[in-house]
Amino acid sequence: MPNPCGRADTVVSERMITQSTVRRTLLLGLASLVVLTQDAHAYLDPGTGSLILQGALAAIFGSMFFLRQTWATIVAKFKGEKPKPEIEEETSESES
Amino acid sequence: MTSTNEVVGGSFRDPSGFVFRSNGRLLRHVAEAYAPHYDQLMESGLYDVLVKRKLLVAHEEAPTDSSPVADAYRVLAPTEVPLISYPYEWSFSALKAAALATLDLQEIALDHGMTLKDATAYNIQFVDLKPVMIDTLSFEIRPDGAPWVAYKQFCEHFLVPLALMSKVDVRLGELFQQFVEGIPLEIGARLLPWSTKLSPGLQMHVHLHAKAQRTHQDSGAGPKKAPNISENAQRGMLQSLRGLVEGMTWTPSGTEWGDYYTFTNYSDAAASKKAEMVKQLLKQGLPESGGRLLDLGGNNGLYSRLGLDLGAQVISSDVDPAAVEKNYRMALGDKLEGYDVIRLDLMRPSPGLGWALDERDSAFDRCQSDVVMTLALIHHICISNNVPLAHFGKLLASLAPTALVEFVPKSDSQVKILLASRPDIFPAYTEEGFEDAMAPIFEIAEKAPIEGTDRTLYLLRRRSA
Repeated sequence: MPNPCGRADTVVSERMITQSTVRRTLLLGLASLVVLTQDAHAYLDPGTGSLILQGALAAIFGSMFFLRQTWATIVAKFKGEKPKPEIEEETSESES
Repeated sequence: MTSTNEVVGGSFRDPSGFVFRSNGRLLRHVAEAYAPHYDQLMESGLYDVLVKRKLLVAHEEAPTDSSPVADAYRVLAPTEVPLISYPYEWSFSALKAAALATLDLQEIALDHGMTLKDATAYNIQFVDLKPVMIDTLSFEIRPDGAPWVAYKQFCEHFLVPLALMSKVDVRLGELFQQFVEGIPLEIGARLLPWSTKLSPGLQMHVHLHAKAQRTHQDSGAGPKKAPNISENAQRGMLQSLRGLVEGMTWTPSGTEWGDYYTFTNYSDAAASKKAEMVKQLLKQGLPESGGRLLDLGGNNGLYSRLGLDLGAQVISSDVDPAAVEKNYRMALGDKLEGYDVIRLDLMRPSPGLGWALDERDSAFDRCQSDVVMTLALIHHICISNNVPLAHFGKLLASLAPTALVEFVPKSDSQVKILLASRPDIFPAYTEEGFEDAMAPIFEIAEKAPIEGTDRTLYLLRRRSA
């Protein structure tokens, strides 16, 4: 899997991840970016930590999705195929 | 309300509805509260797409007054799957296929403005060896920016078991039987080798996820708020999970019976003779409509498949994960229909589990058949595991009215191997002893020695009580 590319403060490199102190700081840092705005209604307990992690990683996953779609569009263009439907501009709504 | 309604034990958790049987027919009550979601499922085209792609069981609508409860918005009559099986009985590849199907379901649901509100492996069953969702009420309208509430469940039901089976030991899939709610992230993170922290996918979805859960488990005071997650971010997460699942592999090697058919006691001629005899006896044992055949110790399914030729629905089982894996892969490759492969340890069969032991049925409750077949299995049970012959017979009689047993005597080299390292404490383990032990339980309908071997096939009919 390619390294996720996002804003400077959300880039996670493999080496950083392996260092637990940095990791803890990073997790807390990312968590602080998450604005908890929606009521979580679910018959299943989604897990607080799980929701926070999703929020923290949203920018990375959004960027990954955006890059993959862009790449697929470029490849399709070069191959002379019909471009895929438009890509949404926003990559994440997790920032305030 | 009629007295013949019986609510199915495993369906009480979701307030959107429940499953019940009415005069033997499987029905699903849809509660009024689920109405907008049901309408969206049916009207957005999601239901049609999923049924067309065989990812969701089809249903018909039944009269609402057939429900035992008053507030039915709809009553559905789903197409029943031939066999209910559980993730701790699946091969590695089957669990992987179920995981990918769950991701397909979620991605297609997003296309239609919906989301899976749960991602339990128990919602997936196998029809013709392919995964299919059986819980029609798992889809709900996705509010803008909603995170995937089933993310943790997906990781605990699929990602952690697959990672443990792939990276540590395939037998760790059995942990699922202990942890009926899925193998906890924290346990997964502890058991996985350190090197998995270098995989960005496993680092995020298992290690970091476990840590986030641990850090925030006590921070639940007040109403829970969820973060905003764009649809693109969620699609990115699903792609990341898909890449991770697709990259997990397990190839059987070196386990006890994986290569059994490459070193059996049969020459090619004897093997085809045996297959012919087995087929003939199965024909006598199975009903004309085909019925159901349960093969215990079926190895890679070579003989289980004979049941398909006779129109039977077949459950092929074995204790060895390598045999089950091979059986599943070969059957899938050959596009077999009406065929199921499960891992079943007769010394420790899947019990009734969950609330009141009623949420998950025991393997024997689910595998009731017209014929139970045990070819070259009896010595593993009665010699390796000291099970008396009469106990063996009683078990077979509890599974089907007819049994097809291959008796393997002590003169057989396979039995000699078993007895090589232990004293022979089995004086009754002879053909005569076998027949005596079966006599109170079964009538011997056929007895057929297999040419070129010391083994004998028996077709046994259960005596009426």
